Amino acid sequence: MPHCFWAFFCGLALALVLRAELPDPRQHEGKTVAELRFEPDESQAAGELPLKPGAPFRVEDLRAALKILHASGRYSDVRATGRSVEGGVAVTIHTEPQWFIGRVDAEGPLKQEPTRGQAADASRLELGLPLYPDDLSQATNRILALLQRNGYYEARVEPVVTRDPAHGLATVKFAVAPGERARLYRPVVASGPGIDEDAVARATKWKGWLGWRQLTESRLHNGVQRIRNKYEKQDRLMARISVEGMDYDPARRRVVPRLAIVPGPKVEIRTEGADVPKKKLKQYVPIFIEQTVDRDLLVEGARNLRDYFQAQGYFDVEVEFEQHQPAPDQHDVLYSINLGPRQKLVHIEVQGNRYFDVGAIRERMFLQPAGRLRLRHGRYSERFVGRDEDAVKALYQSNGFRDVKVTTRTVPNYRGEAGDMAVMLTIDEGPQYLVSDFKIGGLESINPEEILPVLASIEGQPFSETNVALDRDFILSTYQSAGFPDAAFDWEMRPGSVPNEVEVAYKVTEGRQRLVRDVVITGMEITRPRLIRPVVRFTPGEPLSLRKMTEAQRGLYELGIFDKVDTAIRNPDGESDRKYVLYQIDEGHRYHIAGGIGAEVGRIGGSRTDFDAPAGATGFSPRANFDISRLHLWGLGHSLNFKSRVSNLQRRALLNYSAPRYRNVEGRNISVTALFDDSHDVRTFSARRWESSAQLSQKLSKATTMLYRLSFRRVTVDRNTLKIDPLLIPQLAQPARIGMLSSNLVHDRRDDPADSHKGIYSTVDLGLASNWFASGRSFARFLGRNATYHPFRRHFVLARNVQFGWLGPFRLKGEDPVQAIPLPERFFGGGSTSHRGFPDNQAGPRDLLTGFPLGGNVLLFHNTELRFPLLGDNMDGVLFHDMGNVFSRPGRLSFRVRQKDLTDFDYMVHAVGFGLRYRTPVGPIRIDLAYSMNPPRFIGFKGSRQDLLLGGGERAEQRVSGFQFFFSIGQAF
Amino acid sequence: MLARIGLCVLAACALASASPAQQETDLLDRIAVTVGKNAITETEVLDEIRVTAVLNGDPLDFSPKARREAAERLVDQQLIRSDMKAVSYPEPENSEAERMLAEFRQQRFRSDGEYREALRQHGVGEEQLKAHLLWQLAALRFTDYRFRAGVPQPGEVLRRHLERESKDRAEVEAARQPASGDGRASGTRRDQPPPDERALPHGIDRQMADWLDQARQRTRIRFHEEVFQ
Repeated sequence: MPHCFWAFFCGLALALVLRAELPDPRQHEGKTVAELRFEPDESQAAGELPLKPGAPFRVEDLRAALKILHASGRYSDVRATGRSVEGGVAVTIHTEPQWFIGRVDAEGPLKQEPTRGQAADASRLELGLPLYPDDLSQATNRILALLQRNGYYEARVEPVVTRDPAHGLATVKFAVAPGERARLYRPVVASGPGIDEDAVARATKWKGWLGWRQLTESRLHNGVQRIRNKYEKQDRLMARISVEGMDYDPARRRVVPRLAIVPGPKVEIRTEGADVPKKKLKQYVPIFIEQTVDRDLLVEGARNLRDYFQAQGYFDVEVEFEQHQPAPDQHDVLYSINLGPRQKLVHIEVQGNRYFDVGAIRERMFLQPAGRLRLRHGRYSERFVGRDEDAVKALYQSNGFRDVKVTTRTVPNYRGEAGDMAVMLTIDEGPQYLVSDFKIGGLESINPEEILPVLASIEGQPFSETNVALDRDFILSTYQSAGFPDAAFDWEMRPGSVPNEVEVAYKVTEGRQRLVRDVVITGMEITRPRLIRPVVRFTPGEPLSLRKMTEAQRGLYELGIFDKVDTAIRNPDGESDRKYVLYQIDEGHRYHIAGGIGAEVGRIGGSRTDFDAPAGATGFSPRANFDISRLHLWGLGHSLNFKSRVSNLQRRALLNYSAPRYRNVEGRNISVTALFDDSHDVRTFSARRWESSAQLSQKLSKATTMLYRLSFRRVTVDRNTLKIDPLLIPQLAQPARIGMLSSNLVHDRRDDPADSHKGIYSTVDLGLASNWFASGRSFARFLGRNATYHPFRRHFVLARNVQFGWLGPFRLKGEDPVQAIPLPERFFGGGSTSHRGFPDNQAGPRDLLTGFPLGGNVLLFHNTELRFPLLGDNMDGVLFHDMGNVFSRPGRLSFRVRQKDLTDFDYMVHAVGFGLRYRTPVGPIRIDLAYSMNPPRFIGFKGSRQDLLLGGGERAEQRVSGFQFFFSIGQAF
Repeated sequence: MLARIGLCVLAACALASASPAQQETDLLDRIAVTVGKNAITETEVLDEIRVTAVLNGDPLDFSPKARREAAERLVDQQLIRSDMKAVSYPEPENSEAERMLAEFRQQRFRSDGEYREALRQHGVGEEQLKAHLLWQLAALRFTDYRFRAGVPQPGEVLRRHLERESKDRAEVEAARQPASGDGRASGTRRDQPPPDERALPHGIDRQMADWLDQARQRTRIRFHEEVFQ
């Protein structure tokens, strides 16, 4: 009986299982679809399906329906069930919704190696893509692997998924509990006899003063690299060091790396015939990098050495090599170098060119004739010759000269000069292939007028694959901007009716247009939507433009408040027409703290209290600064900044509130500033300034900005520091209250503001101080500047700069009589950025008693610079001429070059000089040496303040030194 | 005893087949594998087993292992189909498939009745078989086209024409030059290059296998495991 029971049971189960597992829809083939239901209700999808109620049931239709639903990307699973009913078959389609990856974060006490961001990135969950069931476990394992590589062997990672049903997005947060980081321990060397394990352990530097260091990925890597370096120093260039495994001891929480070391033979590389520094050998012979010796690498090394010597003028150099293995542990490589005579590439001639001028060809060439200062032997090597031939050929081919031939010939002893060489580049252009007929098909959704005028391969134009590629890029990018991400481009060509002509036909397959369903922005913890809205401007139903998405991403970065902005389309591969556009943003830190120290050296010295050195003495001024900013205030991108600077020339504190994009207008910024400044940068006095100002700036175009400023300041001069005639003190050194309205127009078309090579830069600053603005003094102020930069002969730049300023006191009806403009408001000039014939702020009128500068009401400076390459790629030279001065009043502005007498300072001072510029990422480091041909002479005073008041002291003729030097960062203008 | 057990099994099967569940709901079809955004349904996997069995003359085997193997073949087919869409190549005609089918019938079956019976037993329609043969032919042709060296890719035709035009021009120019003194006849064409190993059949298979491996790595492929249990 039990046998029968089990047989019955097994038979039943088998039959049910077989029936349940093997669908057989053909039993319903041809029946009428009496009913079509969706579970859950997705009836809006029914319209797209070939399976329709009332129509005959066909298996192929059902398959197609399931595939269409799956291809929409909206469902992670789709299945169909059916039952026979009266009048046909009732079909139910069951769907499981597909979730898509939204924001991905890692949370936990991770600060560095890895950071939280690195942990989230390690998950490799990409915004907008479908989230499949096994994704989370794989992502978790990847994060655990990252943590383990960084010593967190006991880490726990738990993914927490929060779903947003409205948008079908799943936010994934990985809760990371890293535990304690393990420490490295003395490595075990797994192979190789005669290896000193102690020395290996020491080389790793994994043990510090306080014991074994913690394991991080970079520390492990650096340790291995140090072992490699150790062997390299022993000439074992083929040493192989690898980490075979990491043995973790949970009780001691330490990791023992298992290293495999194969030292390999000693490799000695020698040269004969010419000395090559070891550093250069390492650079040019790739066995040092590849850590293996084979013939190909040695051949490449020989070629590199040949190029190295050719670049030095040994154009006929021959480099050969041979290898020996005198002992199993020794591998010798000898490069034999036959330098030949040293030559100079003095001339490059381009022949046979008709279509392009020589300039257009030369600017694509590496070969360069010798210069006086740079490339003293010219630039020549066989590799460069090959590159230049290819570059010129590509230029012609891209313009329809498919059969162009470019050959190069060298001419030794050019024009009979021994050692001089010329290169003749001969071009056989051949015929130009032209497009005789052009057709484009498939443009349905986009007006051809938008596309046709831009195409390069239309009738009459040169034919080349390059032009076709350009056209293809333009057409596809136009379509992608219009919401056709699947647009495809195909083309074909046929020979034309006459030789050298082709007929070109483009075919565009537009694909389906994708539209924006909505925009979903995640990560806005404090950011207000109204800050984002003007940047991310998508409206539901508009074409989905990849370009617009990228522009919005750039706009968000430009707000300066986000560390990271990711953008993606939700369900990018799904067939649905309307897509969500996703932005995932990471808000940046809210505080920014910076500090620094520096120093200034120049003619800035001299006592504050005595009257020696009115023209300045060499001095040293250390300085320190501290800045702190609170960023992204109110979630609107506003910021509050405090900046301070202390040196023996200046104490300065500034508090600034900045509101960029005021009222969401691009380029409109408002800032309010409070400033305290106590400076002694003008040798004549120390001034204190309390200032508050409000400024509105508006970017009018990419190059033009307008600023409006209302400022109010109180300026006092420290009488104890004044070095002027006591009679002038009531006039020039009284405390003054200045209220000023000013506007400034900036027009900047320079290629690089820090180191300009071409372009133009102009500013015009107009200010009005009057009692209308609660000012104690009334005057108008104008300061204009114009600089232009003209490149010539490839690396040379002629730069010029003119600066003109004017101060005009006036009196309005009912105001006090005209008063002198107080000292701190007057123009001071001279120094590294205005006139290098003077020390800083030493130009212009001087006190007739003490000889100290008094400033003036007019300034005019003109600078001319010739900037040229000097040494290598980073060192440039500058020859300059500066002229100008600060003048006492407009009527005294003069171009006269001679000083009339010791009381005359209204003349044009000229200086010439030479400078060096060393390029760095923050701008060129600058050294300028200037010689003034007509520096001012004046009567100076030697004595104390007491002597000055009591009529004592000594008055003697002095002069501003003719030689000045400046050291700073950045060009003069 | 054995007869009683057999009877019990039969009874159970009969009970299962007559159970009301059949009247309720049957699974008609479901997604079995996803290959990128394309799907392969379970009935396609079963049809693949059926058609392959007919072509190979094997009995039907719907075991999980066999279904998995059939699904893997369909994944390869899907990857090839996606690539076929991207390029144009000489597609086979229906008549070629019919010719193949006729050859198959002639070689495998003694009579039309035997052939029809085999189709019926395996649950395969003739159109299904023909479509499968057409696909095999197309895949073969595409593979040959794609991997055999020397077959011009799109855009190559004119390139060759233009190159020929250039060469002709060069030859005309060369003919104008006086004969060279090295004794060689001018205008001699170079020897044909040695046959490319890629063009050999085993080379194509190897390339195809490599390409499929790479395509599988590039494409997200998900097997719905419940279908293969």
